[in-house]
Amino acid sequence: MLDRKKGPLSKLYPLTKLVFLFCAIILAIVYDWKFGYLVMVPLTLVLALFSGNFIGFIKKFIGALLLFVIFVFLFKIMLDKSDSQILFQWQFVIIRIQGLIDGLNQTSVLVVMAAVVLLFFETTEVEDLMISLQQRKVSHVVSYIVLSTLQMIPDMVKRSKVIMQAQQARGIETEGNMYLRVRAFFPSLGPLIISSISELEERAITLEVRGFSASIEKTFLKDIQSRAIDRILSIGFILISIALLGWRIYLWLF
Amino acid sequence: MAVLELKDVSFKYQLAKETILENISFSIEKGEFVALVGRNGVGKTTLCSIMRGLIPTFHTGTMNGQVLLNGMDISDMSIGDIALHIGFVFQNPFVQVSGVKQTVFEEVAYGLENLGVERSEIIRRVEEMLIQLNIDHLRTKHPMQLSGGQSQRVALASVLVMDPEILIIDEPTSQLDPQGTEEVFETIRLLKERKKTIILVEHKVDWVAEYADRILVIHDKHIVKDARANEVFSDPMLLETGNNLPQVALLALKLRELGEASFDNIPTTLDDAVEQLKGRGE
Repeated sequence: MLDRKKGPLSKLYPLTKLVFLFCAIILAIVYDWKFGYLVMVPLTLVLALFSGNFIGFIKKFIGALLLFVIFVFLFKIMLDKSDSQILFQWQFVIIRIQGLIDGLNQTSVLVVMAAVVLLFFETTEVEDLMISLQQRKVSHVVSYIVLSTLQMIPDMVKRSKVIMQAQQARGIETEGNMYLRVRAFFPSLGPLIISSISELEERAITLEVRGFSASIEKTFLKDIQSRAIDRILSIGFILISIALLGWRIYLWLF
Repeated sequence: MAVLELKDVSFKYQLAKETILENISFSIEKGEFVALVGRNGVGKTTLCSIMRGLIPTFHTGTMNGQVLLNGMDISDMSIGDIALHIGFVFQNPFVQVSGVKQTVFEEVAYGLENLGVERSEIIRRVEEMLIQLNIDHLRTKHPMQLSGGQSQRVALASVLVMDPEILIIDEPTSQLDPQGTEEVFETIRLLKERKKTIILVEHKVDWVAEYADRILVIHDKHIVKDARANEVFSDPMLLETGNNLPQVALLALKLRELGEASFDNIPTTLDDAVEQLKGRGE
């Protein structure tokens, strides 16, 4: 069997990482930007060092978020009309302290969510997650649907390229300016959708032939088990989260 | 007792004007190797799907008659549980991947996971099958990134590894080169030795004549011949149903027609021909 994910974090039980993911997101929602940017993001970056692909993680993190975060941040700053202290002014551009805080608050949840979700998938095979969910009695049908849907996307991209090439071979212009590309793209949708639906039926038959719905308890080739460290970490994440939530509620109330 | 029996089976696809198969009846004994022969579009794959219970569940239409698996009506069994008894290798190997496995090794193991086989046993059986079908070098490759021949072997391995008592194999060598074909037939021979019941659809009649015990010739919706392999393949009437005869049988028929040689029986396999021609001098 091929161990595709490297690094110590990939050895953890998927549900342990899922518990961390949910705890981190909930805390990022209830706390302000300081918790997100000064605690959760640095913590996630430190954890990413143990993902076995730190550079890849950083590239994806920046690639997925940078433009969006800058846009939201600037949007909040520019639209702020509060009477708080002005930090910077140039012609019509006015940056106030409240706008800056709002921008940081708005983006911190998004940045934390993206960081922990990315770290989760960087260190977890989707199949491992599904196996661990099946071990917790989630239906194998649900598990299959999630897995196959994720697999279907690259398959459809590949198939659409084949269809476009087939159209090219018949003399249809598929390259050039935007208008030409759009004109070539829409006729390819029909065959793409029909072939995908037909493949779904064939896939269903394949699964039956391979005993998918046999009335037998399934086993797994991959040996994925929750160890003592997983249980300790999960309980630890939950307890810390409860404590921090309690503290936050206390601060709100008093 | 017959492991598989068809009683007066007819089938018409939902949108078709005519039935594709009519009044098909035969039974197959345990350990028998039966080959289905017929022209393209004659209904061989349909018959395979009927025997596997995929018709009328997946391919809808009007079906009459009865299919009995070990004496039980297949329509009373769940489609998933039939997999415990019957393995089915499709004609098109590209649609026979699960779509959720990342390597050939995992793909071959998938059926065993569904059948609840212990992990250590899964590994042992998959390792054995990869070597037997000469696909060990593909173990870490993605199942969607294989050539036609490689896919065909992986599809065959994925079903054989489940070790069903009956195997329906639909054109397993259509995308294979001569060496690949030989290896697949060698695997089928091993299965035959292990007393597996095999139903094979195959156009390469030279190979079929070599290995199959019994041939069912399908033509114009019916089974027009059901006999031992040497009887079917030595009969020039087979040519009239759009099928071919083994090369060795064609040669023997031609020599007899030209008066160059006489045969007690038209040979259908190479060994048979050698046996009959031995000691005839020049």
